[in-house]
Amino acid sequence: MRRMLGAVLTALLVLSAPVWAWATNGMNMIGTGAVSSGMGGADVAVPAGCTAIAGNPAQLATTCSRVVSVGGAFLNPQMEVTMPGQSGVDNEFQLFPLPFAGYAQRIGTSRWSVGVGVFAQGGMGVDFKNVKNFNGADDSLYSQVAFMRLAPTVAYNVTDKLTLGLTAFAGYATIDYDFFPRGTQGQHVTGLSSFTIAGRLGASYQINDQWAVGATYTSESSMDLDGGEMRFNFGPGMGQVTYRDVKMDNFTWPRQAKVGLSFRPAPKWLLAFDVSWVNWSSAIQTVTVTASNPSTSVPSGYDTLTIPFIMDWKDQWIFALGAQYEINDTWTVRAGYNYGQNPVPDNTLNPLFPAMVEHHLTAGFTYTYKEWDFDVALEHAFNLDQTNTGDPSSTNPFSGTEVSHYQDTLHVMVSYRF
Amino acid sequence: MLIALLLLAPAPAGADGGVAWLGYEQAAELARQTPRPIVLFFSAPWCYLCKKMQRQVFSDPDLAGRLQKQSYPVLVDVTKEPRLMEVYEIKQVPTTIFLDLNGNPALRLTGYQNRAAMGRALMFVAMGHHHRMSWEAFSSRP
Repeated sequence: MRRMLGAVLTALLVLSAPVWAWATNGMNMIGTGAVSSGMGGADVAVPAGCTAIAGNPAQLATTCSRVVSVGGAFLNPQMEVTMPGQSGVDNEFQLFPLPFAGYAQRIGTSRWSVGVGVFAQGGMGVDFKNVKNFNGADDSLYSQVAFMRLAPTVAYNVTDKLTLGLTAFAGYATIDYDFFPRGTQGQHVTGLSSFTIAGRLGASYQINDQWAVGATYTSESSMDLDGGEMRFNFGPGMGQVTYRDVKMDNFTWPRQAKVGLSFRPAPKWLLAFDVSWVNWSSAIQTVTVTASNPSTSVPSGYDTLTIPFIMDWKDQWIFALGAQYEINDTWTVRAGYNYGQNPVPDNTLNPLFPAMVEHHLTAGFTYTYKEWDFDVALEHAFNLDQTNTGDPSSTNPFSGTEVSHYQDTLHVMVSYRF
Repeated sequence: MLIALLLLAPAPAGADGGVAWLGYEQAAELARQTPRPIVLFFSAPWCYLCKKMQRQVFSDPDLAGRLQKQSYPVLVDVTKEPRLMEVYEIKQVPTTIFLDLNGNPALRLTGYQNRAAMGRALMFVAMGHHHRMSWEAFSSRP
């Protein structure tokens, strides 16, 4: 079972090549699917159909028969890193595909709805070439953090107004990075991976025809990232040594709590507002990479390398506001705004892991043709500049480094009801 | 765009001027006195698409007027009327069934139907087209 699950998730990761994702509320996407994203991620009290698998599982109960949805996002980040005393270097062009596929159905006319889906929860990554390393030579900074989830979901209408939902997440995460691999103490790490499990509880309550509220709680996804390989550059003398067993500790996908409300001021209008709390301070602290089993003999004391990345991310509050207007039976338009506090502290900013954008503006639409829905949304994350203000040390090599980042994302999805 | 949408949002609506639903027995009695098709709309309190049809389709004054004039529209809550659900073999909601003048099912539509489809279906049964052609043929006519 574990092997089959791994094969499915790995195939999806490969399909999403070349590399992975920049996410935008920390490492999470602001929303999954063009409907949620078009409303700025304000979705916890909004009917969702299939994408409830990745949102509020209770909203799966808005599925009345059977629906299959396929789509995803294409994310284009624009970044610049400026090391102290150097001119800025732009990120290489990247367009990250973030897939979603799901199926949901109500069981007859019962109060039960079920569904299953696979989707990209998020991630992050950079690709800076020709950055001067600490030896003053041209080098590179590269990272990719990918997190895919398989999510069976069930929802139950407890009463005519109250619905509960539960999603079980089976996740698969991978991490690769290059930390100035041509310089002394440079690292080229590939193949770190981990299976994870987590769960999400969701509730929605329809107060009346106009008002609804919803809430979700997502548990932490502990990760045992291992199975990697590292090429460590000792510089002149020992040169590069490959370590065949590499693991990463204390890198976790955080727990999250979310509450929201929706209001229908008129039959064709829907307004929504969500507040989320993400517990990054527990999930991302000092991330430690341990490399062992060198492929060649090394002096005593170099059999195992322990490399700490002090990150100490902060908890994050996210506020999302969305509006939807049904023009007619065929066209629905949406707009949204999302603000997520930057969880990366100034004194530990690392250009390998700068999940820092805060303000997002979104717009989108749905075109309905018979049993088909075609959803599109555009998301713009506004530029944020951040500078590492920590004192220079062996655990803070990027003191004085500035990172700038903005990005655009296109969300598309096709759904078929039958 | 968000600000524009928010500013343009109107105040909460009052009475929607939509379909005035009848009970099943009431519609059957009226149909015995003055024969017209009966339109059975099977819904459930938790059914999102049923509410969407109520909001987008049955609240339309033009369609509502035609339904009132040419048929006896009946709203059936499947959680309260399981007998009707059995009689008409309802497997999912929303389901809309059009009964002809003899009370026999002439057309069954499952899932969300927009205003145009509902208007056309009403014409199909009320004008007796269902005696002459299939719904597929009728609905595909320009």
